[in-house]
Amino acid sequence: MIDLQDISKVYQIGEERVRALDHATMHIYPHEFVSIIGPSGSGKSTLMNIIGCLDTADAGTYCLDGIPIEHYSENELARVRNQKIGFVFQNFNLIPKLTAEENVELPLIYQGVKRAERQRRVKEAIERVGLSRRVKHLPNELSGGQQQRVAIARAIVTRPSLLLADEPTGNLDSKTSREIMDIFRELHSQGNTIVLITHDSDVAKQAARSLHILDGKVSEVQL
Amino acid sequence: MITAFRMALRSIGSNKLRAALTMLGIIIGVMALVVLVSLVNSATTSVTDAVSSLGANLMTVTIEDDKGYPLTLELLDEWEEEERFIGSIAPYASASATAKYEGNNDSLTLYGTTPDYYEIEGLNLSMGRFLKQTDVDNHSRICVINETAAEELIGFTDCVGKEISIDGMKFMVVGVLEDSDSSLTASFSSGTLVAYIPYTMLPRLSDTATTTVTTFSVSAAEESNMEQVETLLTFRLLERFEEDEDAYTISTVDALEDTMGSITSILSILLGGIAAISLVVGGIGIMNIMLVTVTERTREIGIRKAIGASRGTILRQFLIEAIVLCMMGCAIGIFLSWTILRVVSVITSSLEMSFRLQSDVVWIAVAFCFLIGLIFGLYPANKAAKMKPIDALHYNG
Repeated sequence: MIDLQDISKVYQIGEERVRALDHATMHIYPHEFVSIIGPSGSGKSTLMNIIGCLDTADAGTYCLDGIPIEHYSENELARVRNQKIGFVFQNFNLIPKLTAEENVELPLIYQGVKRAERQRRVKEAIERVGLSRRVKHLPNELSGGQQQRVAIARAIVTRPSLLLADEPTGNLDSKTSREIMDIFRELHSQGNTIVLITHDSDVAKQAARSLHILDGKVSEVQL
Repeated sequence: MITAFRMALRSIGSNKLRAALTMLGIIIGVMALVVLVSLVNSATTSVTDAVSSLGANLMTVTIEDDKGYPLTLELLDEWEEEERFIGSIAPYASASATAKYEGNNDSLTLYGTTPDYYEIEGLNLSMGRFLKQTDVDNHSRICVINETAAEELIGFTDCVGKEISIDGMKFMVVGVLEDSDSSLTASFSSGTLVAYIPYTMLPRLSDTATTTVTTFSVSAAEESNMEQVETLLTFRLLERFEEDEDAYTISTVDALEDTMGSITSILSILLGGIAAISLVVGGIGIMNIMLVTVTERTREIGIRKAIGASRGTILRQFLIEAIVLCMMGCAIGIFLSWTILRVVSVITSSLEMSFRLQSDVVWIAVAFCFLIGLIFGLYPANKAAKMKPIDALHYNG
């Protein structure tokens, strides 16, 4: 499913060269629920950007669903993100001017799905995250937990092969966090592949497998 | 596409004051363009109408050099009878003279002509009669004067039968002409005193006038015969003046209309050009605000890209927004122009001019606004489309 081989990424910050990923190698298989844990500055975000096709590596190979994507153009990467990957971010990243419903609908619009089909799938996705009542509200009229539910609905509405969550509970209180994690577990039990990136070992523990990242190097850990 | 359009409207609506201020440039530009060009065009229409009311079937021939074969009244009568395309021919000559009535002294313009002149020039009698053929044949000492002359010289218009003296010679007033205000010559010569006397009488009053004809007006039997009449006259005149084209000139109202038309079209291009400059300035305002919008919405662009918007999608979104902004300004501008033209029409209704919104300039304005939206929206939209998704996502503005 995800196959990273010797991925390296170097950032130039002022005079200093920062090696964010140093020959990182990892495999994630279909229908897995994997957490990637590491302290801040360990290269987590860079790894997530590369897995999510938001960024490309300087060296190494990355195969997603058996397709090597390192030579993809920007527009091809956009299509991959649109069709194969669902993002859930720490700060929700909803578009403030669109209602919950419209936020969920947006990736389908970019896919060119017909209106009737769009409405059906939006409704379905929103039901799966348990948020049918407040679909007409703007993000700032919703609580953090509700916003994150909208974001999850937006991620799953395209039925992506990979659900990529970056600190999804980072901005939520512990009760809401548990509810969100319950949704992830449920989605996993329905057969979705989930990669969860976090610095919190309690959250990471809920995944079947955990990978540890430190100074740009990835290693398998048991929690 | 419809979705993109809706999104553009909503994004404009989310900051109404800014959108209104941005549109102001376009609104003023469109108003300047539409109102100025419409005003010029309407004025042109009125002036050309006035010119053509002088007689669309009229031409004037001036003899520069008669080569020893001067035209005579008899010859003109002959032409008039022989050629069926010619309606009538009226020779005329003018001179200035001093007129006296009782104690009053006034200078007036004296025309010597024949009866046909009345019809050709579209004169109107308010009382009495015009010159008759017998007056011309008999050298009658009669005159027809205009209302101004009647009022200034005699003191009242009901003056048929009164005798005035022109340059010391007594003439009886047989008719009074209306001071028409519709014809262009009337508006040029308004306030002047005019008297018409038989053509044959003029040489007795003026040293320069002779019984030979140097200027005459010709009318065509039908307006559509103008060209035939011109060819015909050309043929006859060339024949008489030894094939010398410089011996005479034929001028028509058409030629005058053409000149006026070219002057006013230059004027409207000039004014339109100035207005177009203000539209371009408005376009720069649009570009400015679109650049601000793009920066403000960097995160939104990042989110859209993360969930799969391609460069083209983002480009189109911002381009449509710029164009919609322009077209809204354009629509408001056209509406305001319409209002202004209506108000101007009401104010100037006494001038017998109607200022109407010219549909072609409206379309030009619409097309121009669209182009401006496109051109000035392209750079900001491209800036948005080129953003890297991760940079945009982590932008903290």
